[in-house]
Amino acid sequence: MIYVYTNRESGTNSYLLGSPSSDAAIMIDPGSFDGAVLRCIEDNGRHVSHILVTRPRAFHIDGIRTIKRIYDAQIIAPCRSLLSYDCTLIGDNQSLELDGFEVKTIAMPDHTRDSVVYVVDGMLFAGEVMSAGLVDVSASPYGRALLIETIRKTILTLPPDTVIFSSFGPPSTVGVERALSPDCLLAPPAAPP
Amino acid sequence: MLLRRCRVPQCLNSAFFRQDACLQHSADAGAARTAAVDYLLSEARITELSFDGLRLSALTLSDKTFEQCSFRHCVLEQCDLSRAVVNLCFFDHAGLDTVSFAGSDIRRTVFGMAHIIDCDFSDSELCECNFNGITCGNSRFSDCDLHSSRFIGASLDHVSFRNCNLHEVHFGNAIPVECDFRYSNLEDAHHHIPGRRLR
Repeated sequence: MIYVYTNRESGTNSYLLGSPSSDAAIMIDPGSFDGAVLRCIEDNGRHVSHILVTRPRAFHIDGIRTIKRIYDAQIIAPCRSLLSYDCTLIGDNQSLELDGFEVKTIAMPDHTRDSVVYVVDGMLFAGEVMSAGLVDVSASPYGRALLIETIRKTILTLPPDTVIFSSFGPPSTVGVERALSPDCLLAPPAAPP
Repeated sequence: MLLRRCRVPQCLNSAFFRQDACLQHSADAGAARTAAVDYLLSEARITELSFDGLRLSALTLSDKTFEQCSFRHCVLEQCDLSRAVVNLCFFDHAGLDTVSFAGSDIRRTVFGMAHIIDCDFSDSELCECNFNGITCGNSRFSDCDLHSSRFIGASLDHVSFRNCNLHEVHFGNAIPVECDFRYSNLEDAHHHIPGRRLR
């Protein structure tokens, strides 16, 4: 089970993943937490066991205080603490086993130093790094070029049916991102003749 | 998408409808196809199933609910999905020919790289849908709420977007030919298309 909800104020997406092997659920980037999400968790007989954070920014974490008041959830993030809660610090290329989910991390230092994306059972939670044909606007053209190169090497090499869930906008797949026309920034460079 | 993988090692496909393998590796692909079509016709609510690679011809699937289903690389021709509720489904790389989604509620669904010909999406909610890279001809999106959907890199030939809500819709690098945007709030969309104008 995956449940997607959007924060009406910031327009950012958060995700709730129900474990296939237990009654636990994982929340990804909970920028908000309201009664509808709580009902979704409780009506399905689940509890939040882990919170994954792609980047410690307000619109990814503002729901954490509420969640922590209700559930004893472990926070996994690219930093040691968030909102005065201790976090499990993660970096690049780490593998975690969370409630039946295999989670792999990919650091995105060309986005920001404290940015990671998570690959969870054929789904990529990309945070604000990329979103259905768009790449996050970096500070400079050079930074943007580096980020695109990193995305090509690390994300576009995942299996084509990997679903990409982002903080903004609709979902996508690696296959669609790879196949976009050469006008689009993410298309791989043409092979030399 | 928590769809099971094909049992064959190294195969990257999802296991086809209630099977342990994809269509390509199914022991009896014909029976699997028939069972899948029968299920689609009989059930009102279809959730978390893969129909990847299936060919659906002249089926009436109107008023059904599809949740977290995959129709990747499917071919749908002369199918009626009007008034369907579609949430978080995947039609990427599919071929849709003369399909009606009129009056549907379609959210967070991926049609990326699909070929869409003579299709009718009119009078639908199409929020946060991904139409990136589609090839679309002679189709109607009239009277739709397309809020936050994307048509990046799409080829749009004789497509009607008349009287649509285009708030936060992205048309970057799209190639529109004879498309109708009358009565739509194109000023609220992102449409940086060098050398071309949307009318």
